[in-house]
Amino acid sequence: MKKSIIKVLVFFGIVGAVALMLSNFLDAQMKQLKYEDAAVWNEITNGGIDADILIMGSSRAATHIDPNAIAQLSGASCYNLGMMGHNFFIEDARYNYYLKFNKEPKMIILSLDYESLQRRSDLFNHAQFLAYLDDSVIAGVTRQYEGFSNYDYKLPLLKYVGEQTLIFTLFKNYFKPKYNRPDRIKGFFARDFRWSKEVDITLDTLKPYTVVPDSLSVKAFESFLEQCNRKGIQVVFVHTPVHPLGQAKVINSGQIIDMYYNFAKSNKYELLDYAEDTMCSNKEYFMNSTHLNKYGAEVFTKKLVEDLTLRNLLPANDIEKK
Amino acid sequence: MLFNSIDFAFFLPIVFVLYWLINKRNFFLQNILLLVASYYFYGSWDVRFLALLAFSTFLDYFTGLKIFNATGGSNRKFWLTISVVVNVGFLAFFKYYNFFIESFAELLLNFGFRPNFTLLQIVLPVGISFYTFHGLSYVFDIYRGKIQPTRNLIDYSLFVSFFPLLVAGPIERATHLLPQIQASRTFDAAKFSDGLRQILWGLFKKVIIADNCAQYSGMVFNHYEQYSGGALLMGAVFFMFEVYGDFSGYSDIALGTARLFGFELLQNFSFPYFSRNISEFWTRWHISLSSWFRDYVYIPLGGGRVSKWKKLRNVFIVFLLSGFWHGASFNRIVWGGLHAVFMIPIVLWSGADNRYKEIVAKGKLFPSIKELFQIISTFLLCTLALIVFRTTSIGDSLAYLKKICISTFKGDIFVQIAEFWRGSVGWTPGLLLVMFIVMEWLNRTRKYALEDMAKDKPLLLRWIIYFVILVMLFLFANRSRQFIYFQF
Repeated sequence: MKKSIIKVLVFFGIVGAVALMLSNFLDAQMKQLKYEDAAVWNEITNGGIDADILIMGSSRAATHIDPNAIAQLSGASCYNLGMMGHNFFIEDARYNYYLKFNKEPKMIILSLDYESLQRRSDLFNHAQFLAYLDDSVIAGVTRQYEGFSNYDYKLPLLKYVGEQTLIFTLFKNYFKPKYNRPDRIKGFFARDFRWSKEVDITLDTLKPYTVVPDSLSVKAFESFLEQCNRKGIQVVFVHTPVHPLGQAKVINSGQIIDMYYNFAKSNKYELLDYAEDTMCSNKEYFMNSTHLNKYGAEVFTKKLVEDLTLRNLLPANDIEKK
Repeated sequence: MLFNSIDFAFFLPIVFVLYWLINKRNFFLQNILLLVASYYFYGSWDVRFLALLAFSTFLDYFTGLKIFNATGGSNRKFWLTISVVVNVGFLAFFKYYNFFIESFAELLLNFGFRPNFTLLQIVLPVGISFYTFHGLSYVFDIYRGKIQPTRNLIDYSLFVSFFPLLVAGPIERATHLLPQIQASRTFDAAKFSDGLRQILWGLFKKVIIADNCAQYSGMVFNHYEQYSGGALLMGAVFFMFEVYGDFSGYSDIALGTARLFGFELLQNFSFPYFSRNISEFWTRWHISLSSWFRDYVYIPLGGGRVSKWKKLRNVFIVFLLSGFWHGASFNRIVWGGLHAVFMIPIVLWSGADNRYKEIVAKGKLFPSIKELFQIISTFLLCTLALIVFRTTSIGDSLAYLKKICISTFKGDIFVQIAEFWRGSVGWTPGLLLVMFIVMEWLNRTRKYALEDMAKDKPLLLRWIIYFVILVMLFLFANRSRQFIYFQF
């Protein structure tokens, strides 16, 4: 019996050692990824962003507001923290994670969508968190979603189970680093697509729905605003352009925007709502009903900077510098 | 606690070490440990149902003793009836109550009545169909005088609730498992490594074959209206491998786990997709259930020693019951009925006894053309029936089959299969399936495909084989999926 047990222990010891090495290798490769959402986490972790202006929000923030254009036009440094496919609850965690490695911003442009205060149950694109599950902020927020099991946070390699495509990609990047090319600049993800027929077909199948804010997200939102107020960080709410066909899908869109106005009013913030802007009805600017394309983002960012300047909302120091 | 979970990966070694540590004292303590572990294992699903398991165990233990001690025939029958009524009653309540109520309401509606029955939010206790059948086989065997009841409640409880077989079988017999529980076990290194090997193979079937096939079968069956006939046929084939990988994988893990503790459980699968007709298929698929129905339903009805028409009636009764056992829906009953229909030519023209006792093409590398034709046609018949099993209503089944038929008659089916494979599946699942079928074929004379593959090979080579399988498990696993047969 002893012999059998020793054999098994030796075998699993070797397996465990290989697993540990592989896990460390994959984590290290993930931390060097220069594209997709993981790239933004990596840039944040590397520190040194220290932006004066931070853009926060979902994929609509990531694809609509170009921090490079803002930096050029305003003279203030700017970075886009927009997260694809997620709502404020996790965007807030990304901001807190940012503060661990970077200086506080002077201003936050908070892009609010109809669904910002909703919370999805699944951890969309969970792979972006893989390398950072040992971090308390990321572990704290991801545990509140369906995605990782408790063991994924504690045991090596387990979190990579079934991630065959990602693993092959990471090995490929290791052997051929030329494939590891950035797809976004300072977090901004320009999408060079046009509104296609498929978009219309998908829109036709999408039934109108009611947005129900999630209480935990609302709490996190209030606490975020309170924190910004306390630290003197200027926050501007922005409701970026949505095509009328997209607006029509949200039954209580008016109610949601009113709620944001109330938050803005009680915190003495501005809300720049572009839902009625002339841009909205022009499909040339959009890749789908809720997302601007590269061209649309360019036009919109310019417009946004003009409005911010007009209202004297950009960080004072940098404007003076300019 | 699923067999393919990390919880189980911790649970099993702990129980294993404790079990063999106390071996020096006595096996009674080992039985107590296994019983506690089994109740913990079952309680990890839902603690509430532990009471039901304990009650069901005590009922059969008690009625078994009463049947054995009863002096008159009517007394024995009385206690048997109590056991059957209560066991079947529990099963009927938890599994079939809503089905009966809904069906009865629909029937009354046809006669112009509008009944207002209340449906209950019933949670099906996991494994109830399996442990109920365990208990029933025990009291039936005592009633028939095949065995004497055990007076040791611990031994009997362990027979019913031994954790490797508790939630999805194999459905054990007291004649087979109880004597093993009542005898001391010694550690056997060969059995130990064989057990681990079978667990590894079971995980391969479940995690790599079943769970990957489930992606495609689910995709097709859940939106069958959107797919071509060829895609629907492939969806059904994927489901065939999903069910087989899932359930036989579970059985392999159960058998392997039991072997680690010195127990041999009944073989539940024996390469069923290499069967030459439906009769052979049922001697190779879910063997413990088909033999249960054979021994406790088919044979008491007269079995094969009656006229052909009565034999046919018995076959229909068994298959319809088997279908109903698989779930409270008309689709499952029709699935059972279809298998009975497929049996008609065999019963009428070939006799009830299966001609194929040995595995196909034994001792040869390839089957003959005739055998290949038989294997493919049996596989397709099972696929046809499984479409009815998997769809949610008879209407859906017919619509699904209709699309396949239209594509077949139009001659588009192969093009559509190729399109589906290219567009939605890709190379990896195909390669995995081919590899799996080849491994099963080459080892079809064994108890499981990996049984001899690593035997008598140098340690390093064996370890490389195991390591490769572990790497495949790591790469191709899907995150924690349930076993299909838990729902039964």
